[in-house]
Amino acid sequence: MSDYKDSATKKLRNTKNVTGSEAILLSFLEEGVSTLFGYPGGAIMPFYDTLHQYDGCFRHILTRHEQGAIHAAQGYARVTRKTGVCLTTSGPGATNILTGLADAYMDSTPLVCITGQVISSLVGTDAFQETDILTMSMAVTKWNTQVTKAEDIPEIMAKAFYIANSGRPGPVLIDFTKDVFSSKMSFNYESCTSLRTYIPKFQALPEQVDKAARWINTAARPMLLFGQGIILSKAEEELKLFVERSGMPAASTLLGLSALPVSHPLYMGMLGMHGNYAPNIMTGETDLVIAIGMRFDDRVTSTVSTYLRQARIIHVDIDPTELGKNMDTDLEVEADAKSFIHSILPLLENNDHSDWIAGFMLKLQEEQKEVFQKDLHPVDGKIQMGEAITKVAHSAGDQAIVITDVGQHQMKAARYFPFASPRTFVTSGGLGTMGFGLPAAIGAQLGCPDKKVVAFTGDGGLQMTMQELVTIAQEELPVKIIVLNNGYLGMVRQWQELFFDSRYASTKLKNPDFVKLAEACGIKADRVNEREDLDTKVEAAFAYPGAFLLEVVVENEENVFPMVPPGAAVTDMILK
Amino acid sequence: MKREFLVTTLAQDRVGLLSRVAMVFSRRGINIESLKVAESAMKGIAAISMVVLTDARTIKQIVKQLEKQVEVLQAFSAEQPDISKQIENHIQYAS
Repeated sequence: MSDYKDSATKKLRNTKNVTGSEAILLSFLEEGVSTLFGYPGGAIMPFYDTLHQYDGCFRHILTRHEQGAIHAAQGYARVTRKTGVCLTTSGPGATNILTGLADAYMDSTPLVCITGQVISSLVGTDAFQETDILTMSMAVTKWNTQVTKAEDIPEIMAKAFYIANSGRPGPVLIDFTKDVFSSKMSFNYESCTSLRTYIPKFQALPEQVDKAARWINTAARPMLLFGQGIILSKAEEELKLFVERSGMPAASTLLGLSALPVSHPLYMGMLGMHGNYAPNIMTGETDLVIAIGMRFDDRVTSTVSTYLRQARIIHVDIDPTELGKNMDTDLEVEADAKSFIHSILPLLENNDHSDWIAGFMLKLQEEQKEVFQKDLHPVDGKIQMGEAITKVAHSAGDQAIVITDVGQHQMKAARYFPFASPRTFVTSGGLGTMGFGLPAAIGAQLGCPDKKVVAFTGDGGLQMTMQELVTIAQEELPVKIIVLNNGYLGMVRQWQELFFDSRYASTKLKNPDFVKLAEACGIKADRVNEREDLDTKVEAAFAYPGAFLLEVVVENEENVFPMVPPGAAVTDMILK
Repeated sequence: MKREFLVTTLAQDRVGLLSRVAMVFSRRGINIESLKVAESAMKGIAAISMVVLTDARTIKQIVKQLEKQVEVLQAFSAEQPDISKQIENHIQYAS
């Protein structure tokens, strides 16, 4: 990064009289941005021309579709905790990032997205490639604005980066009319650290912390539910201290995964529709729940009127709109997760809840017997997704960054990968965006070039953004792509089997030859059909120094269990 | 039970503000019965007052969602008992 900055600041030393494009680049440098994901086009061409002149100062990743650019920026942001930057042109370039904006908004991912717009005098005339991206993106951005004067750039850029990556992070979109890129202005940048109308609250009220501590200390069967708020506030160490001091069992949401090592004795597994059996069932027996940095999403609570009826609930979240939105709770605490845990730690008594935890262990044994055995150690039939995932985990190591797409493979990867360190799991949670995985892996690998990045994807999801294979080849990124191919849109098929009398409406896929496809894109690839070849082929994929696509042909009609059937209570979760 | 509420939002006056504020209602399927935008006593801050028909739980969430918008300084709501009673009377009369 510093090399980039040194080189760029030399070139851009004269900041008295710079163009709008240069002002944007200087703002990036001020914010420590060196990696950009984007796709050029008419309205943003002057910016790209300037970027080209400062080649070497920034690394720009040309994806093959704007959706790929924004998902890559999301992957980058999620593994680095920095703000991801995405650049596109007006009209279709801008509309193509809407899915990524919605995904980032749901999953609290900090992004600054720059879109080109037609020149100011043509705005509102239905000019070529004009679209009202401000109105369109309003519902899926934390903040958006249009810049029509170059002199506004430093202040707006500073504000955008501050808003994107403070409080509850989220995406920001700035729409620049084309004339702004070439207009001259004087650049003077001041970082934004506060705004009159936007003041995230970090500290919990002391009386709330006291009350929460009293409730925790006196609870007989307490339980911690944690979400991505832990990762976003960098509270992983504090989380560990919290569970160890209080002795309470902890369970994660899908996006909270990797905040606490899977091997931790107080980690009880994942919550939700396809989560682990014990933490879901035991929500029916707990007398106190403390939920930190999670939002009681309907995939976690199922029918909310049946969830945690017998328990006292403390809900801690930095976003006050999440408090009381889905669940009425007994203590609503508006605070940053890290700051809250810091303040409560000294008040917690050392507790031992081993009798209560023994109950979780019994449920775990049931899940092991009914589910793990079939998923991980099948003796006949085609390869199961779970066994492929555990083989990959063995070769990749538990420090690898795992990216998934959306569907059955996502749930299996979430359930079976032995996450050991924070920020090693990136998935599309709230929005459930198929096509997210492959481009997100590009961003993750660029954000963590020294880590192994494994992208698990299904045959359906891969085909939504498979053009990004070419981006991986062009950028020479050593991403390992594991395609778990069951020949179906598997999760939808599972629901059709279970709830629509096996009427497989539009879920069977005639797939391309994924190996040939990857090779045509310049990526080494192989296919594994038989169980006895799985070990060798997975090892070969990881031994290869560059990108590798391994297609694993898995059981066609495998289902994800356990499962909370739609409309049922979480405590009615089924094992088969 | 649906009742009539007056919701007032104080926010930085800029292009698109009204859309952002209106969006908070429309995405929850709430119609804005009446609307007034005026300058507030604070420089650069507009006051947007809206009358909406909804329930107490929703209005609490609406106020929080309004305050979540970056430009919004403050939002608050007040029940309008008299007007809602009049509406009920009108409905009874009409049926």
